[in-house]
Amino acid sequence: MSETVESLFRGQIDDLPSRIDVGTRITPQHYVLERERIWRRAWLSIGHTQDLPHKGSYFVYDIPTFKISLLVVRGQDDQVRVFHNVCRHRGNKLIREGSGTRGVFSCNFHGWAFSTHGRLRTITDEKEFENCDKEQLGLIPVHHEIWNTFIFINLDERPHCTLREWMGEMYDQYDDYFEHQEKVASFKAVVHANWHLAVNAFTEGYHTLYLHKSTARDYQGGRTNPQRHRPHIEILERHHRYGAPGNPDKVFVRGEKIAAKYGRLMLPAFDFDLTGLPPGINSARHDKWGFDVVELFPNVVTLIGNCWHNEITYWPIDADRTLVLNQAWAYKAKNLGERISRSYFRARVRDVFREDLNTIEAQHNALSSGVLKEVVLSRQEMALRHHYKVSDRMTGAAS
Amino acid sequence: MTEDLLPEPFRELEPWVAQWSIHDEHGRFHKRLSTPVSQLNRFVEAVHPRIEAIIDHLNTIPTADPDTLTPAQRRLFDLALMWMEASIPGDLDWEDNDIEDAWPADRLTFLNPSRLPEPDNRRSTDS
Repeated sequence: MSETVESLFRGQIDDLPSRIDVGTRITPQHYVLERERIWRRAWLSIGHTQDLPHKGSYFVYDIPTFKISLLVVRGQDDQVRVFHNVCRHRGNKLIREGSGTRGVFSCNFHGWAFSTHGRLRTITDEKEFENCDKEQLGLIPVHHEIWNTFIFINLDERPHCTLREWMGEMYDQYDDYFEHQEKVASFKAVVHANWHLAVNAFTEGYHTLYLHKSTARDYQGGRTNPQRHRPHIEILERHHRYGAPGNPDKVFVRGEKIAAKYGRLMLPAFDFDLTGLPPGINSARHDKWGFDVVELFPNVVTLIGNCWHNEITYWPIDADRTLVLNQAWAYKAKNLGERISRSYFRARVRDVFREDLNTIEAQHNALSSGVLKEVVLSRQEMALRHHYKVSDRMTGAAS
Repeated sequence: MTEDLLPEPFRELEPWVAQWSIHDEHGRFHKRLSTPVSQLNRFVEAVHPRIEAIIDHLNTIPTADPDTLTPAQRRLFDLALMWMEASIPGDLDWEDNDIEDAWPADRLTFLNPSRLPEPDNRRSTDS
């Protein structure tokens, strides 16, 4: 008799439909509504405070959804600020791209210069300007808040809620975790598909047994959980998270054994060490836990392990295209052996992600064609059911 | 006098350096995808007897920052990273150097993993 694990559900699931008409939710008309009612109103992650290690550190962050560019800066007072990356003179893009450290941001068009706090410091040939008050011409700030190491922005003129309210009960549950990690690798891809489908590709574990059979064949489930049921699935107000079951009987291949000797196990391998995890991670305290999948609606899905997290950030370009950024984070390497070890797991996961990415465009084409009136979702795909409920609530609740 | 390509204990691996000691993740990934699996396995098997000695040697250097290494040490480090990348197809019993149903490599853009404080970005260098 084969064993199985029944998922424990937490939160409101009774009203989450198992059939969803995704086709009508990925049309250009619907996207226009979503851009204003979801993306302009939501708190959106744009990076991490580790991306700004020093006073004067900055990075440029372009958001295709609204065709805007942001300049994210750690000021000389150590505060992180977010500005529109636009010179107040004629609207030139102040800093073209990239990151670095500067004491002043000068526009290459006419030489106007701004401080790391966003103040206009220099107007070249200032006497030729009439009635020009530099105090009124600083860089235009963007609403932002920091959650642990995440930098969130809100593009609404006046945000409907604080980031704490937006995050709900998760807000206080991840302390003392993200700041212990450093970025290991990063890539981006433009997926020719609607953002919903790009998010959905990473928020259920049902596919892992089949899609990842060549790249990570036995990392989850195992003899006691052959169908890889999620041990717990939590549906929160806007966000959701679930635990992925690690396989205690996983067979380590040769390279993996060597990587394991010199560093900590990372996806797709787990050491089941739950020491020191904050309450939000593996919140059910499942002992065969591999990692959590957390959707921070609408623009982040992050896979969170005990010493690593793998973060996917989404930006719709239009109804049919989505910019997907993937960042691998891990424990800080204390020696070169740990760097080599981390590189092994990074390479393994890169292939797993490429398999996930490769499902999205085919679904988009099929669902756009109208050939399916609805998709059929299992209980293991509860996160997808919830995702569309939250989306519908935001698009329908507009005033 | 010619410079040693690798630290002295690993001189016998020097013939592999030109083709397999690759500085960035993007380059290592593309080396894997552009090399027949038989050649990948030849490199992996040739270096395998020394891979743990390589990592042990690198761990005696009191740094975690590959940018502080000497050129020979750096080539050894990059060779170890390439071994990790190249070992995957053989270990997972793939018949090819890549999986069949995966996002095309040329549609991935690798980014600098860390936003560094220097005035100019440096390329992605390591794990």
